[in-house]
Amino acid sequence: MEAVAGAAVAVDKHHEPIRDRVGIGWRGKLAAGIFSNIEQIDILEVIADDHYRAPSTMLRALRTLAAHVPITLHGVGMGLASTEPAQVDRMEKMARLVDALQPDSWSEHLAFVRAGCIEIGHLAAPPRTAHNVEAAIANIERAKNLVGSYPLLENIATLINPPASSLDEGTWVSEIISGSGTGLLLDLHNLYANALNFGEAPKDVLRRFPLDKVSVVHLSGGHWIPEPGNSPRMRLLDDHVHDVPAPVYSLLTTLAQHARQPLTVILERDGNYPAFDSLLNQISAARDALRLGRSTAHLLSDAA
Amino acid sequence: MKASALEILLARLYTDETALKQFLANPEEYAAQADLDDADIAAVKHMDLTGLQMAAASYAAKRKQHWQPRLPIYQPLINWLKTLWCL
Repeated sequence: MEAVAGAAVAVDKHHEPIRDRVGIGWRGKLAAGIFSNIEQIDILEVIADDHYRAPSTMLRALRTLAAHVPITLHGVGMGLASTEPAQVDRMEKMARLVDALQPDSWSEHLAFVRAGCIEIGHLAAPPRTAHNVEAAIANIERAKNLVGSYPLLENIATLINPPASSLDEGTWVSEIISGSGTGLLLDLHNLYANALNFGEAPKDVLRRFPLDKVSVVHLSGGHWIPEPGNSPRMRLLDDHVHDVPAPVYSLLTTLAQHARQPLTVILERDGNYPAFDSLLNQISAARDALRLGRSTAHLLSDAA
Repeated sequence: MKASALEILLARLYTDETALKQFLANPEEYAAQADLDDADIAAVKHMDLTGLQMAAASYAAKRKQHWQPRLPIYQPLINWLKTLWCL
């Protein structure tokens, strides 16, 4: 099967084809739609933590899936941006999955999920300091040594600007990416939500990220929630249960203008599932955004 | 490296409702008892308390969600394989 038949192909200034790919996160409730429309899906992202305890029969099933469509593994629980050492146990489980499934890549979040034996139960933004950068790089190196390859690292959404931060998010991410020598999984809705919640223009924030290191992109949606008390203000919660908003596609176009490397875009949806046609429309919109960015990239260099 | 005292404090505030209430009542006093260095105590004094409450509520909702029965994630894959293998 030619799984990349629908990939967005553009030609850069030097006439080298840039083959971008667009896919979706594998979820059980989306399976029927995914299998029925597999020719429109270039790649599937599988949540690794869901399969850390998978018996060998299930790993064989996943291997069969991986033989039909490229997959990438996505971890959520390592806490690579913790100051304390990330859990070796999870790295070993990821190594087992990577060995079994031979994915295109694997990824984890730049977050802390536990500290001093307290499990937060979700991804939290650590104080963005030089000390934290150093610790994150050590965790990433440990993960690379155990898994056998570097993870792509994802920026997270946060409702709180972490205290005691001496680095802005883009600089903090850039320092970890350059210090570890790996690539970036850029979640554009996370970036968008953080920018709006903390009073910045999303495109200004985007330009502070190392766009030449982006390999994979996440697209998702969220909803506005009120601040507590009597405040009239709202903050944007990244929830993966709403459609991708238009400004996030616009960020994808800007990214495609600036990045020379191929991009793999994953649509994330974790609930409130619409008809699968709606998800296909969002995949199609992502392809359009990529094409627009690629076709107008020369305008940037001409302007420079 | 060991966990930073500030990460431990944040983790506690995100997961312990009583601790969060005590902290919000007097952040400076709470921080002073949390083994933080002077720079972190100063940062905590000026931290985003609105964001802290929203983040804690969001994490609590996520934890509650995780306790719900999980979707049988393999079943659709097995159904598809049965179709593929004509079983």
